[in-house]
Amino acid sequence: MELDDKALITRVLDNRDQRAFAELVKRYQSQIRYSQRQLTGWDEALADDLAQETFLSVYRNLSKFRGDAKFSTWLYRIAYNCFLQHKRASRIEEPLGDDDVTPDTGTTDSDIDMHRDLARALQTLPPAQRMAVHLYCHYEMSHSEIAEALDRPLGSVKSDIQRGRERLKAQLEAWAPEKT
Amino acid sequence: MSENDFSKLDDLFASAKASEPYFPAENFTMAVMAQLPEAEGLSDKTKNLVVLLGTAIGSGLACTVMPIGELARSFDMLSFDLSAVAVVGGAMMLAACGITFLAQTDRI
Repeated sequence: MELDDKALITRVLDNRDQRAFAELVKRYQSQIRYSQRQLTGWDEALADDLAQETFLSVYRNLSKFRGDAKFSTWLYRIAYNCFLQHKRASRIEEPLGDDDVTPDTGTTDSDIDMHRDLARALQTLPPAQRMAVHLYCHYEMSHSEIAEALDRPLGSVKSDIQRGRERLKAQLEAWAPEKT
Repeated sequence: MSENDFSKLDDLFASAKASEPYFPAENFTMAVMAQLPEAEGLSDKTKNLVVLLGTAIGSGLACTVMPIGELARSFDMLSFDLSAVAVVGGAMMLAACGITFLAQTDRI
């Protein structure tokens, strides 16, 4: 029988059961790696480094998880903090030129290109807007869940999502496929 | 498309959600697990159990070999009173607490 997140966390905390922690990593690694790709403009190596740092931080701080929010919400908060720490420390994220801001419409329509273009469009948003829009539009999290994940007031989150969507709409309008 | 019409954007995110790639877990998970700090011995719960069990077993053994009758007679001969015994017992209890504290905080 598959254990739920709470049971796995209890095993890690009580018995330092690393197999239980490995199960948590397996369960969430793909989502976190995808989210870090969206936050970093689809920089795959950096995204995987940040995803690893996210899970190491989760392991170090697991005893602080209170359990009153979903584990995935707490996990996204740590992932976002890892991204912010990296951004503050390195400042390597160069502003994109106009050619990069507008996704390439004619090269290919493969899925990966779509994800990469979306990530590059998201990269033009400030970090809080970027993560809020990603969690709202991609993972369909509620405003309150996002506020919890980002540790920001609900009103700020709503405003971030609205502004971020408006800005993305302006950038992606020409690229998004027409409805049939 | 009106200013508040996000249908194209929503379609794009829906396409992205539907085609979100799954990244294989094995290598990534191994890399994370390899970086976890070494397990630092026993968990707190196990340490407490070990201390309790050790105390119980030690006390049991001490009782079986201790010449309690002789000790009692010695106390009479040396005119120990109960308050002195209480002081010694209290000191031993404090020492045991100190050792337990040091063990639990990984100082010994």
